[in-house]
Amino acid sequence: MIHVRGLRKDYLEGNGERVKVLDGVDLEAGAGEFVAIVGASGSGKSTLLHILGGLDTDWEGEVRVAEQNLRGLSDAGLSRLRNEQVGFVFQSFHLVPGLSALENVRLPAHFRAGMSVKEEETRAREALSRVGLAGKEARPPSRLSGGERQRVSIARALFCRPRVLLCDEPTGNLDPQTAEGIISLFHSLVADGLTLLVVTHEDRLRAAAGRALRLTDGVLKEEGVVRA
Amino acid sequence: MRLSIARDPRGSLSSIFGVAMGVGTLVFFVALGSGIGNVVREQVFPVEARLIQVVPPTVSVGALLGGGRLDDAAVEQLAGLQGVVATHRHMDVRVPSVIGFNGDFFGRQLRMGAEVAVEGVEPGLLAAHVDPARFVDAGPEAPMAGVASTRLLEIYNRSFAPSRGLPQLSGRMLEGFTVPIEINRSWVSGRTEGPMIPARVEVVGLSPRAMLAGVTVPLETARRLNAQAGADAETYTAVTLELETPSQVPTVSRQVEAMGWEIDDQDRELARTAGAAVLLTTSVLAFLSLLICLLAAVNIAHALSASVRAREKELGVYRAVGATRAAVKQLVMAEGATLGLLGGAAGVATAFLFAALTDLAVARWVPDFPFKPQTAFAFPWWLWAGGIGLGVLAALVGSFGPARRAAATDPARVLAG
Repeated sequence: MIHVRGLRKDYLEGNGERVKVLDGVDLEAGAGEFVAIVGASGSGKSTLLHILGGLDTDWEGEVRVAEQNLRGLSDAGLSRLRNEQVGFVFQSFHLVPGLSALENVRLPAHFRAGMSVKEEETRAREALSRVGLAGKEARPPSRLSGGERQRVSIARALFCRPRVLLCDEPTGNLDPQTAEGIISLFHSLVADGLTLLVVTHEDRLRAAAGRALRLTDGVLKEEGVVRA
Repeated sequence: MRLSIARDPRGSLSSIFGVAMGVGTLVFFVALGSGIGNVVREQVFPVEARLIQVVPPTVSVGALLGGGRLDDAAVEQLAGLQGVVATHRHMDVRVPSVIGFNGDFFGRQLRMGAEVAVEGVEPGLLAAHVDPARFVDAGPEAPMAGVASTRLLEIYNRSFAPSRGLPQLSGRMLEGFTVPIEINRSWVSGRTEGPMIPARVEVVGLSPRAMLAGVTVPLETARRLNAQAGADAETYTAVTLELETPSQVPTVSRQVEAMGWEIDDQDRELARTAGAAVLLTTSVLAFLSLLICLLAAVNIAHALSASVRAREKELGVYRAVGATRAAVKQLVMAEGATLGLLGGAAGVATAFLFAALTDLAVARWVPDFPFKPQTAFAFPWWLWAGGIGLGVLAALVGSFGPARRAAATDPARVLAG
């Protein structure tokens, strides 16, 4: 599902110095696999996630996601990939404040042709139900708890029934009890065949994943399974 | 879209207000110019686009040799020109005439006298306004059928009557009114040759085609009076050619001039000059309004730029859930267009409201004057559509830059952390 070979990424700092963020990253993750990527702040974990989701296109190497070679995709192709195959979950949820939970979940449909309004609504309700928020469809983000907001953002990522879910510190802003709920949700998604790649600092999430990889000096290394 | 407008209501309202100002002033002035233009064309200088007035040449060598006579043969030649569907002959009564009145004038005592011109025309020329059965020469013993100018009545009602305490008149009131007239008599020159012919004129109707400062009578009446007074009763003063379409006017005019006749386009020239003055004034005001629209576009550019900056993360989310750069650009443009649409609609509605208030104020506080219109404004459909379209266009121009910046938002940067 995810195939990365020799991924390199660098950028110019303000003083003109070129900094290597990813220096030959290799990664394989199949369907139904739960992979945690850990590493120090600024080690390039989020950058790797953005590259896998086609949000960052300035890199070298080979990246295939959901059987698509990202190098050969145009902006429209990458957008379609994010709309149909890859879901994103962010630490800060990034919900649109003025929209209800249901409207937030339906957001991807605005950028997709051929889905009827009825189908959109049915899917959005299903996604909210899947994350345990049935009955809270009409609530705006301001009237949801942190855990509920993260669930809405997961429901939004699930709206298009993606094959890959990329999560950037998904429990970083949540209390331990709420984080546990999110982790068990992740397990059920993985059980359904979703490929889940989670960038995290947290031991609990790292322990919940089937595999943990550490990004150090731009290189990804297997860390093995850690029990929290 | 409704979100961004609702999230920054102040900025959105400011943008809508800016567009409404520009569009409103433009629509107001264009409607005013159009309305005044209509008054000039239809009431002050009513020129009918399909009519040409042919007159004998002012100076003609042919006339000295017996040519240049606008007689029946010449009229027949003119009638044969391609595009001419009818000819209407005019013959002035070629001796002076005076009207004297002393008696009851619609409930007021009136004593007046005036030297007037009398013109004879074929009834067909006035058929649209006056019953041809009444506009006939009834012979020397009966009163002459006379038609007054609608413009003359307008001047009487708005200017002459109020200053003299005389009653307001309508066309219907005037019908059947008779006034004594003396043909071949002048108070100016004193002496005239031939017999003076006393008669009465009975008003049988009003027409914009009747002569302004005088009385229009049937052609046969003029012919008879000229013969009685010993004047030329054979040739015509003018011939009106009625064409199939207005577009034939230039071609037929050239042919008429090539035949040695002249075109009397004094009214047309006056209408053109007045119309050009109105158009120039309107254009200057419309240009100023366009500048306001330009400022509105700049205002929208500022408002949307601020909105795009404030919504960086939201735009990043759109990209993350599958929006292309083009879709983000379209989204911002659509937001601008919505502001423009609302502003344009508000502007047009405001212009209409101000026009109605202006009409009301003019009707209430501005004293009557000739050709004072009921409304000084004209709002054709294209003005409504154009106003709203201009609002959208100004907004699209203003939103282009912010839309490009929005499309260039780097989602990886704005969604990190």
